[in-house]
Amino acid sequence: MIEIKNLKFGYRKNQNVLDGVDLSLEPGRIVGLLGKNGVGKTTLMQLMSGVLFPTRGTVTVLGREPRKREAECLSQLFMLPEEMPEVHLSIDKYMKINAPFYPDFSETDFVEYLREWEITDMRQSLAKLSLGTRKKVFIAFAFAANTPLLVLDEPTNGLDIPSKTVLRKLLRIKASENRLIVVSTHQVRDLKNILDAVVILDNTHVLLNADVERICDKLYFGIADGSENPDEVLYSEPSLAGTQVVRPNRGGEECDVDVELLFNAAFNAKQKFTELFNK
Amino acid sequence: MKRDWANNRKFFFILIAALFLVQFAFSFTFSTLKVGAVIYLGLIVAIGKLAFWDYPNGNRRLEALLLPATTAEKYAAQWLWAFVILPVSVVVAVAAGQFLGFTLITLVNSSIWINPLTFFLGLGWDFVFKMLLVETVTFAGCLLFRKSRTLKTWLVAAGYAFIMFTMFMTIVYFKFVVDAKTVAISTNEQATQFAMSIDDAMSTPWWSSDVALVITTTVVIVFLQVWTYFRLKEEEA
Repeated sequence: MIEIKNLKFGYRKNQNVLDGVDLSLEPGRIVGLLGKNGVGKTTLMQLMSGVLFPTRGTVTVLGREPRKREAECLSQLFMLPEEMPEVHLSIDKYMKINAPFYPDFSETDFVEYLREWEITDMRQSLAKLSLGTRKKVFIAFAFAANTPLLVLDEPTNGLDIPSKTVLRKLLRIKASENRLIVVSTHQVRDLKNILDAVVILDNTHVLLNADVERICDKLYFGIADGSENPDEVLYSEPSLAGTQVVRPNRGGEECDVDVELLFNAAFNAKQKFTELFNK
Repeated sequence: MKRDWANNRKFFFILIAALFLVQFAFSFTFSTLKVGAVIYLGLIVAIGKLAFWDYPNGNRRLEALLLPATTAEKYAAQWLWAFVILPVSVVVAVAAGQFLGFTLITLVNSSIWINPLTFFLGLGWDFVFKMLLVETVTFAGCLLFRKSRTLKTWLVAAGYAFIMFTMFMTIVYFKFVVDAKTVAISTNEQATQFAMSIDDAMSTPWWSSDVALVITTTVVIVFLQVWTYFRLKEEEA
C-alpha cells in the first residue's frame, strides 16, 4: 500500500532528516512508527500524506504519489496530527462539512465510536471541548472516514486510561477491515500487543522494519533465567519479576514482543541488532 | 466553500454590518472619494481576513492541505470568495448604507433628491480595475505571509510602488541630464528644466492613458493570480 523508495528530505539544505529511506507497508496491519524525539517520525508521516515534498526519491500510496495532492488520493488517506486544530463548529456541523470529502464515511460508525467514548451530544462546540475530548472526536471522525490508510500521530496523547482502551479496541477493528494504520507514538505501552509491525527510525534512516512474527523469530523477550550469555544480551533492565532481557531467539522460543524493550535493545546494541535482522 | 463559510460567517456578518453602518452614518458627506475609500478598506479587511484563512496556522494549514480536493478546486473556492462574494457583499453593503442614508435625508427635507447611485457611477470605469488590483494584491499576500498578513502585504506593495516611482523619476532625471549635458542640478534654470521634464513625462500619453492603465493592471493581476495558484500548489505543512 505504501512504497517509499530512496527517500531523502530535509527542512534545510545539507541537514537531512531522512536519507535513503526504503519502506514497504502492506494493508491489514497496525504499524508502530517509533524513534527518538526529532528523528523524523512526523516528517515521514507528512511525506506519506503529501503535505511535505521529498527532496529525492518517491512515496506512493495505493499507486499514487500523494505529493501531487489529487483529490482521489487524498480521499483514500486520513492523517490525524498530534495537535488538533481549534475548530469553532459543533461536532454535528463539523461532520456535515467534512464527511462529503470521504466517499466511504459512515455517520453510523462516527456516532457509534463517539458513544464508545461517551460523547453523545453532537451539538457541542468543538472549541469548548477539553483537549482529550476534542481528540476523541477527531479520532472517531478519522476512523469513520473508512479510508484504506490511516496515519495517526501520537493518538494516545491527552487520552485518559479508559479512552486508551477504547482506542486500542477501535484500532483492532479498523485494522481487521484490511486497512493500513500507521501509528507514531512515544507511549509504546499504550499500544502493547496491538502492533503487527514495527518501524524504528534512527538518524535519517530506518533501523528496523519488521513484523511481529519476524521480531519473535529473531529475538526473545523474557525474564533472565541465568542461562544467558552476557555477550548475547542486547538489553536488560530490572523489573519486579526479575531482570528482563532481550536476546537472540535460540530457535522456536515463544514470547510476546515488548515494544519498549525492543526499542531500547535497538539503540543499546545497534550493531548487533542490525546484524541480527540483516541475516 | 461551505467549510469557509461555516468557520468565518460571524466575521463576515460583522464586517458587512460595520461597512453598512459607516456608510449610513456618513451618507450626508456626498463624496465619491469616501465611497471608494470605504469599499477599498472593506475589501482589504475582508480579503485579508478570509482569503486562505486556514493557512497561517500550522494545524489548520495541515487540515486544509489534507482536504481531499485538488489545488485547482481549493484555489477556485478562495478565488470565488475574494473576487465574487466579498466584493459583491461589500459593494452592496456600502450601497445599502448610502441609499438608506439618502432616503432619510429626503424624508427630512423632500426638496433634496440625489440619486445615491451617482456616487458609484462617479467612481468611473477605472475603479473596477483598481479594485481588482487591490483584491489581487491582498489575495496573493494572504498566501505569502503567515502573520500580520494584510499589513505586511501592503507594506511590501507600498515599498514596491515607491521603488517603481523612484525608478521612474531616475529615468526622467537622466532624460533631463542628457538634454542638459550635465549631471548635477545646480542652477535655477536646470531645476526648472527638471521640473518641466517631469511634467512632460507625467503627461506623456504612453503611461497616463487609459489603455496603459488597463494593460498594466491586467498584467499585474494575471501575474499575481497565476503566481498565487502555483504558490498554493507548492504550499507545504
